[in-house]
Amino acid sequence: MKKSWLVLMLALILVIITACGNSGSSKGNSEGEKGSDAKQDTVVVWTYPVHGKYEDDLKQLLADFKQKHPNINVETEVLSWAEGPEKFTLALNAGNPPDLYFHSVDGSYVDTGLVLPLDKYLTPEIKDDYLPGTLELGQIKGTQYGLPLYQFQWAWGGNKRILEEAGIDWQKIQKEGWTWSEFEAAASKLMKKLPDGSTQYPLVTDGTSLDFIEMLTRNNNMPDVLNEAGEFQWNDGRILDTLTFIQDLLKKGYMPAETAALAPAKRTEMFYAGQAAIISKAIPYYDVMIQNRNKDIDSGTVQGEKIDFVLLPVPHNDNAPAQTTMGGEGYVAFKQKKDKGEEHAKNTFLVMEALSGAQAGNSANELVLPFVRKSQADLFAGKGLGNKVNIEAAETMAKNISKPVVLNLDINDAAKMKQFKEQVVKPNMQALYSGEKTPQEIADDFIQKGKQILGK
Amino acid sequence: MQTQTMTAPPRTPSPFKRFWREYGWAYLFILAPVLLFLSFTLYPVVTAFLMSFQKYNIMNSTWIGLDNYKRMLHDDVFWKSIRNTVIFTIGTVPINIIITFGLSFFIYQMKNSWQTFFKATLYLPTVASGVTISIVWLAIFDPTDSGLLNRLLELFGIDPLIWLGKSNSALLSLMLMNWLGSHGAGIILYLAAMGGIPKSLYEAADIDHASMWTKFRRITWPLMKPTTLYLLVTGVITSFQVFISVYLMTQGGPNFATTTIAYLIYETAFKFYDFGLASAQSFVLASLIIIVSIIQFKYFSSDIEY
Repeated sequence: MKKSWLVLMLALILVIITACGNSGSSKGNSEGEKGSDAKQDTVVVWTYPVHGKYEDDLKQLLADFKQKHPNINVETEVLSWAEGPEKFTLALNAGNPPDLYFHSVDGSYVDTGLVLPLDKYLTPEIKDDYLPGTLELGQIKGTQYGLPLYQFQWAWGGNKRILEEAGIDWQKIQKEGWTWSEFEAAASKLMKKLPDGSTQYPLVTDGTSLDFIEMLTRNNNMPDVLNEAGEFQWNDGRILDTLTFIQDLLKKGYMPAETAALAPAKRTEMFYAGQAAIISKAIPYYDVMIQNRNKDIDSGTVQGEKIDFVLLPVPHNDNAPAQTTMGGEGYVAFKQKKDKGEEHAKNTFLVMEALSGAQAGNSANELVLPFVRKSQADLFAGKGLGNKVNIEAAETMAKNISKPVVLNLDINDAAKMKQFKEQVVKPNMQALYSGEKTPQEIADDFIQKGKQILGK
Repeated sequence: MQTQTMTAPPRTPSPFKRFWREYGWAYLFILAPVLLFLSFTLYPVVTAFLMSFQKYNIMNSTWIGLDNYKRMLHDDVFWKSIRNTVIFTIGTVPINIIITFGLSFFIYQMKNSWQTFFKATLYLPTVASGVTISIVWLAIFDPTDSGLLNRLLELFGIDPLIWLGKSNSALLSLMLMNWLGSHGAGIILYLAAMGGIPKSLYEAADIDHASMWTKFRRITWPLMKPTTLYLLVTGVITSFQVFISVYLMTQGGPNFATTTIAYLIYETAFKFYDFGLASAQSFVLASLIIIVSIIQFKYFSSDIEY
């Protein structure tokens, strides 16, 4: 009996030791198997399917990297856009983020104290390779926390057939931009009943995101809720004008009455069904995406009308300059609560640079977005995938760039602005869309809540 | 020497050894669930409780006393979320119990084969994931003319409704979804309980010429009370924690009309990274559930005999 107890207890201890010892050590074992070199290291990368072929790009980039740095293993995980942010948030706030994460730099990440400042790793060669104004897209208050892979650009998207049928000169709009009055004049021509009884709306947006109001306010002289100096912007006649403009569009039926309940996917669905002449958020990549959809329609795998996509600038208030919402996305480096040391940090930067270098420029190329590095632009010169007119439109819009204000904001102000947008702006916009609040009531609420949340 | 050893009186094992010999295996078997409970329930709960008094930061949390609780009590959105959660609970739990009981009562009158068919059919939504069901309901509530419910209204000449896009209909829409979906488990429990009622009670009632209503009121319903109490308590707990449908269908909108306390906790933690405040909100939710459950047991279980 005693013997059986002894055996049982030993087995239990072994199980516990095995279970506890196993956590996180599988990578260590594999390192040991590879030659027990003291310099062996593993860098963990969490990324997203940045474009349709990104996983192939990633394999190639890492294979090239491995040849140059055989002692550094790279473990990659491609997250889904839907679930990834939550997984990362949990890991970050548990003190165990990946070494590299694909995202734009974010003040709330810096606030955790786990983001790795990169300035000491950036060589003059790397800095020189970045095109003017692009490296700054990975900085917060002048400190480099990320390396941008491309510059994102938000615009509106139009259906060429519908625009031309209504006599809208979309090429002129791409070149010269348009004002709110000009947009309203165009909208009156774009609205009609379709043969199946449904309505063709001039403009469709969704009721859940903030992109629409953010883009319109930028085109009415407000860079964001706060400006770079941290001053409250959405508290005067400019925000009231913007809200009134949106309400007019709704009242005149230029936007669907059910906007408050429309999800982003429904907006795209309406665009594909010819029920939306223009959608309120588009990126230049839509050009490639819609070209692929057209091919699928030709091959019979997708049913529907083929669409020719045109990228359109966001209209601006008659008295305000045109602004294009742009920013940078790429890799941000992190350390863990149990810091793995300087050597690991250096290795992390080496991987980061490999994932952001010349070959990585294929992401900007695939997404029809402006390159961030000279070496990328050189390597992919003449290989652009989008239509020429849309590429030119994107280049024209990039001349009026409005960079994210959060890059220069104090971290506390950035956090408060985020809270203001989620808890004040979003519900008020839904109330505007559903006709439950007037622009004046919303503007008053912004002023009152601005004092409470932003303290301004 | 050998003889001495053989004749020595047997040693009495110590009480500990006797206890260990008798119950050791039992304690060993319960050790695993106890360890799991301590690691994955008690430890996180205690940590979260401490976190509710801190400005949480993974590298450097600071003790701020009751500030998170004060902030929470001064937050309009928190009170809206409490109001929405209470309305959702009052609007769903009793109605669900009535629907479940009614369906069970009718199914019980049927032949066994039909009972099996209906039990399986009505249990199906319970097996399906909340995500799948929410996506189906999103199509049903589609605000355009192509939405299933709007098409149904069109047959009666009623204009399309923006089900999830108006403050006055969004929460009701989520409640409607709940009324029509989650009865499977309750039906199984009620049918099992109805099967346990002695036939002799109904026979005695028949001899006394009792009507159907009297039999229901005097026999069926009283004997269903333990099951009803169980469904009431678990239903209230579940509806206080309603999250998936809000997250997938309305994101708490429009204008906070469907922000429930569970969704608010999620937003506070994962959108604003304010884990201290989210922990405080979680403890208020837990306290509410405990208080309501105690009240339910106090007032509804007084005449229940187990």
